[in-house]
Amino acid sequence: MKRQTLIAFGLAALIGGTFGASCSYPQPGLECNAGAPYWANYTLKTGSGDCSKYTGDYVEMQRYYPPGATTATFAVLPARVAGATRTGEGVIPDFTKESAIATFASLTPDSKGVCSTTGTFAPTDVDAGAPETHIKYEWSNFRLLNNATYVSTVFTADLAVTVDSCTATYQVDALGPVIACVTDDDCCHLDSTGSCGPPEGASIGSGLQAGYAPKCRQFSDILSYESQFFGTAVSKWKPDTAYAKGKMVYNDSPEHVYVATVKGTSWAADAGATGPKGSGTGIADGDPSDGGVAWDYVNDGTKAIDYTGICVTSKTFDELLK
Amino acid sequence: MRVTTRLYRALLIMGMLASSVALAQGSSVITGTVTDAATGKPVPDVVVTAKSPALQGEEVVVTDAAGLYRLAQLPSGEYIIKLEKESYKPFSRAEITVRTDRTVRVNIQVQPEAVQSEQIVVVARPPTVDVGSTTTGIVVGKEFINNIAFIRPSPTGVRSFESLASVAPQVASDRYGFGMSGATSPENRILVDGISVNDPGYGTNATSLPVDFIQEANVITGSYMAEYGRAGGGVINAITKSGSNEFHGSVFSNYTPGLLSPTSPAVPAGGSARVVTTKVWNIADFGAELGGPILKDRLWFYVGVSPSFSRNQRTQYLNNVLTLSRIDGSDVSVFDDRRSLSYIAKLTFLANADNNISLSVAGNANDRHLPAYGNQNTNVVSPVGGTVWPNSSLNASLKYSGGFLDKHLLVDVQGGWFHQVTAPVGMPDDGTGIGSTTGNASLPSLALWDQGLSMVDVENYSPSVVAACGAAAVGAKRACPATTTSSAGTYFTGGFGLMETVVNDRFTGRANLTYLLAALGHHVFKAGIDFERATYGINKQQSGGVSIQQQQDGVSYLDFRQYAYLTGPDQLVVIPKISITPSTNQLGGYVQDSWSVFDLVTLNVGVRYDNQLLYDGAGKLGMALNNMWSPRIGAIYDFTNQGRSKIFANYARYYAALPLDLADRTLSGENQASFLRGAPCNPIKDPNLIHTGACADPANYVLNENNPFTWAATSPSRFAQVTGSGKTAIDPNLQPESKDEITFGAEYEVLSDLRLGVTYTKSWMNRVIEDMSNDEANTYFIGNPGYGIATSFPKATRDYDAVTVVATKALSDGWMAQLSYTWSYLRGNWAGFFRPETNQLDPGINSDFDLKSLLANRTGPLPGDHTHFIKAYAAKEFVVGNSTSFQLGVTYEGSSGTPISYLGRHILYGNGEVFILPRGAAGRTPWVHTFNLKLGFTYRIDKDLGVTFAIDGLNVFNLAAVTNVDQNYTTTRVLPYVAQAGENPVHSICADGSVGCQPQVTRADTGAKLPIANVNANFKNPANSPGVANDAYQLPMQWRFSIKFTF
Repeated sequence: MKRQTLIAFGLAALIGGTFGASCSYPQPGLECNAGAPYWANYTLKTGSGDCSKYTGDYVEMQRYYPPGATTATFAVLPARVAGATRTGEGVIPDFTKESAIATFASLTPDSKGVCSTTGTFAPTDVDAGAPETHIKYEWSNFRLLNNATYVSTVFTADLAVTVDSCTATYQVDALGPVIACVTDDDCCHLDSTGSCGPPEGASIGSGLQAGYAPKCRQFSDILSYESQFFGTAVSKWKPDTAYAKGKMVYNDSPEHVYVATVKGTSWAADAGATGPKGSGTGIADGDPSDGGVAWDYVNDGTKAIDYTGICVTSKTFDELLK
Repeated sequence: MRVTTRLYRALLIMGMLASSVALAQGSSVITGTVTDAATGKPVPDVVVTAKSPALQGEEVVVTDAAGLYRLAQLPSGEYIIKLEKESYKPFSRAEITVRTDRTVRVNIQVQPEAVQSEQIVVVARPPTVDVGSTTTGIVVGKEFINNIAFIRPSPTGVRSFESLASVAPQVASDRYGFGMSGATSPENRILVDGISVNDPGYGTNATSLPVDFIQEANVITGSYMAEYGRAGGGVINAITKSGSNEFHGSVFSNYTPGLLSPTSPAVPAGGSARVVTTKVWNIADFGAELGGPILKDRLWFYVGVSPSFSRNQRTQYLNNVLTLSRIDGSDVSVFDDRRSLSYIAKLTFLANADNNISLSVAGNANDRHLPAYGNQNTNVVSPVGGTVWPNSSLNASLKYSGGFLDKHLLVDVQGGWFHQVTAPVGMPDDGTGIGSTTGNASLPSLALWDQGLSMVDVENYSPSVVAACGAAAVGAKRACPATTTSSAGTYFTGGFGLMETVVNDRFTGRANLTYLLAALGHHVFKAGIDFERATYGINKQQSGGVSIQQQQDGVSYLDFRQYAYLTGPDQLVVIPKISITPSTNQLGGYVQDSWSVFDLVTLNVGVRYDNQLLYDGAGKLGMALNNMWSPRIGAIYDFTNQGRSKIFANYARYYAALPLDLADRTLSGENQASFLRGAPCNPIKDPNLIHTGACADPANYVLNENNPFTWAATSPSRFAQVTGSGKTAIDPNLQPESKDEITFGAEYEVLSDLRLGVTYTKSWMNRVIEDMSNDEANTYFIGNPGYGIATSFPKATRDYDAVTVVATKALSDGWMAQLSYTWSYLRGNWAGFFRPETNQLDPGINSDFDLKSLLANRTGPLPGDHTHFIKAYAAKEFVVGNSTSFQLGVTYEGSSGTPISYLGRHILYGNGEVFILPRGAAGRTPWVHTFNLKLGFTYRIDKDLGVTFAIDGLNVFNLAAVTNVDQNYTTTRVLPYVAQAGENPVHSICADGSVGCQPQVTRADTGAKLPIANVNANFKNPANSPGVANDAYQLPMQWRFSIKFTF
């Protein structure tokens, strides 16, 4: 029995040794990346004129990382710039200068999860549109938080905007992904684990990190131009079609979204029906009664903006680093 | 004769020295209590000797003070045990059958010498209930293989051991093998002699070995102990044959004539004019296997070789879609040929009574050739070539087994090497491959989607066929469209497409210690460590550098798949080919004790620890699966205390190992970039034009804002779409994927050799690993859906409940039977390692959770949810005279249907990815019934020498139930439909056949409602599943004729 006990102890020691040798490996850290669209809040620092009235913008970034390269470059393009350069019949811009382009200081974030840039931050610098407008966006002090804890990211930067003779400088604080909202709960419904879980009655959460303390910034606080990038697609207005109250359609050129305030059937095409037209409180074409349907203007574009704001972080970049 | 106990012990030692008592190296146990027939008291110091053809020698133990004996680590087989003790009659008991990993109890009463004089031979049957474990599943041995017709040959014609799994309850065949207990087949761990033969890239079985080389297969569907791990499903542990002191072997041949196998019912491809049928032309295999001594009692060999051949005829013909009639003279046929050479060689060396070494090599080499139909019309398109699939695998193993301390301490040490060379999606059959600048490898593939093309525009047909197809009958719709709106309506031309060659290697090292200890009963204490390193060397290239997809508008062309990256906005650089070798290291260990507490209750307690590290193609750590602690605990109570019953309960946690596909596709990055090119770019006749002229002129590129494939109208790149740049982010708190399972059950031997059992199994997923995107495919990360950084995604669920009732009549008195019924319930939003709706096999990175726009309506009955399973097998041998016998085996397998869903095309992910309504809302496929028959005739010259002729009939009534239907409700890009309370969603999407209905499904591309014309006319009709030639109906009848000489 004594020998058996010894063997048992020996086996136990062997197994203990095996398990003891095991160790826990941390997951590899994130690379500096810039894929998601962001909502960028602009806070005016200096300037006057039209270009000093921007409240924010929908910003897309794209990273360029050739296989085997030691670091990556990236492009930043606010939708306001793309809107000016890519539409209309005006001057065809030099697209190589449409986006601002910079190089990440390294492929991976620093110890605090911050990706910063190195060298020149080539600005957006284009002539576009008709009448021709010179647009210049110069970025500096760009810092992107890519901490592994935060799968959604924030960036901060200083931005100098020049539109012809108008100049302004802004503090930019951006959050991605872009989440539309009605209440703060849509941006973050804290669950028992302290994460942003699904709001009441929803199956999924916002995808934003609780650490950002995201809040819903109401559109009333944002230029309507900037809010048109969000919404759900609606179908085009059709003649001789039954519409229930609350049904949304788009129509007119340029397109606007309308909502039915009185249910009914739209006029038939052979009666010359064109559907609702115009924007604002008074619908311009004088056909608010489309057959039996009454329409109200909702917003520009082909997407119904069925929420009232956009999620923004309520913390400064430096607060997030702590 | 009276012999003292001391003398027996002396004889025992002498026997060991004479090496006739060999070291056992199996995993089966015979245990029991020896009592005095007169007094009923336990008898200590009885010498118990076990003999078996499976045992190279004998096993000897002595009963303890409580009369208990335990013969452990036996190889499976049929045993005779003999009991001897002074003052008692010698006693022997034969026909004790034990299976791999099973424990049987054989309690024996011995008669005092004073009572009678002759040796007692008990003829009552020994018990067959496994009282040592809670494991669910069955062991399939030669009596099943020889007497029951159930083995469908693999595609290459091999009657492979994996198919033995099909007879176990709670096992359902799926696209890639046999799924167990609600899990998908790639989650299984498949072992041949203890070494994994899973494909390192995808988890599927990578080695088909003929059942003729297999001693038996232990099919474990659940409740297994800590020695088995790294599986999210079940385990198949196949034990190959070994040589012994007598020469034994067989020569065999099997032939399945196509003449007796009807053609599968034709499957119209969703309103497409092309119909392809598959017919078995012939299937054959032959082979020989031989085992015997090289040096008697020292060195044995076992060798086997078996070539197999399978030829199917594929016939394409045209179907007039307006009249639904076959167009005579439009048939074009080719042969789909597959071959395989399976082999095994094994040497077993007994160094001395306590130490042996075995060296084995087994594997197979396969190839397949599917030629092109060869009638494509070069005036319109560029003809596609045929495909070859080379594939070979080799498993080598060196194993040492040693016994110490009177064989109370057993040591197994094993090293293994698995090597596989394969081309998962095939290669061009013109001899060109990755890097070729000529032939099919040099030409881009082109998928046509122009709805105006007729088959006679793209293929050569006789004037009568052209006439039959030519007339436009309804509007502009032609009788023989080459392209339609259905999923099968894309017409491929041009080069080969994606080419991949893969070289996999896996090195395994493992060591097990088994210690037999008597303390408060008996313990079989086991501990082990094992290590695996697998590499997945992959080369991939698109033929001609790109796969082109014509868009639905018929005039624009997308670089649908192209390895490339950007260096700046729209500055695209093509990567000619990708060559990387991701790898994984796994280290694990376990400790377990099977404690027979005073022979009344057995407690199985164990814990397993595993760690898995996955490395990217550059050799850097890509993902760590840490600290996988898997507790396993079970209890078995034999209320008869005679080995004829058990009541058991078990709890287990299982952690799945992740195959390397994930390390290839996401940890290493898969740079792809594309442009959409508009008119006048037109590469239909020559896909290489995509690289030059109008197609390469940026003036013809389509802006992203006009590209329905993207919403990125304001991306810095106006034209280029990019995916897969850099590494996918990993949740820093990623938890490994695990499943918990509880099992209760009872088993009782109601009659000799007839036992009834009932089992309840419940399992659920704890964490699942998947890739996800918060921003609709801009960036992805890998996490646990519903946890950590993925709390904004729903939890992945797969809840399984099953009740199984089994009656088993072991082979005796010339007959055997097994009858099982399983009721099961499988619900959730995650099927497992593959997605049955699309057959996507990307373990850990399937599309289930990829995008938020994919998440709606995904919870419901999973594709593996067949509520009812009935499996019945019976065989009877009729002996005629001394040397001849007839065998009759009958099989019935029935299962209820699988759920059908309303699927739509996703704006980014393509067909079958959007659940328009909740999973399973479209009903179920019908029941499938299969009857098999085996008729055999055996002429036996002596005990060992004989010949058997047999006929195996598979699906003898040629039943043709529908097994798969077209679930694509539309191939237009749509959004999921979320019904309001009180609404009938089936009516809202117009799936109830109501007249004049306007579907309320929203198109994702235009925002308009889905026109009724875009509903797939073929929805819910029989259809082959994506990438499969013939699974719309159950496989047709086959008759297999076999002859086997055994000696």
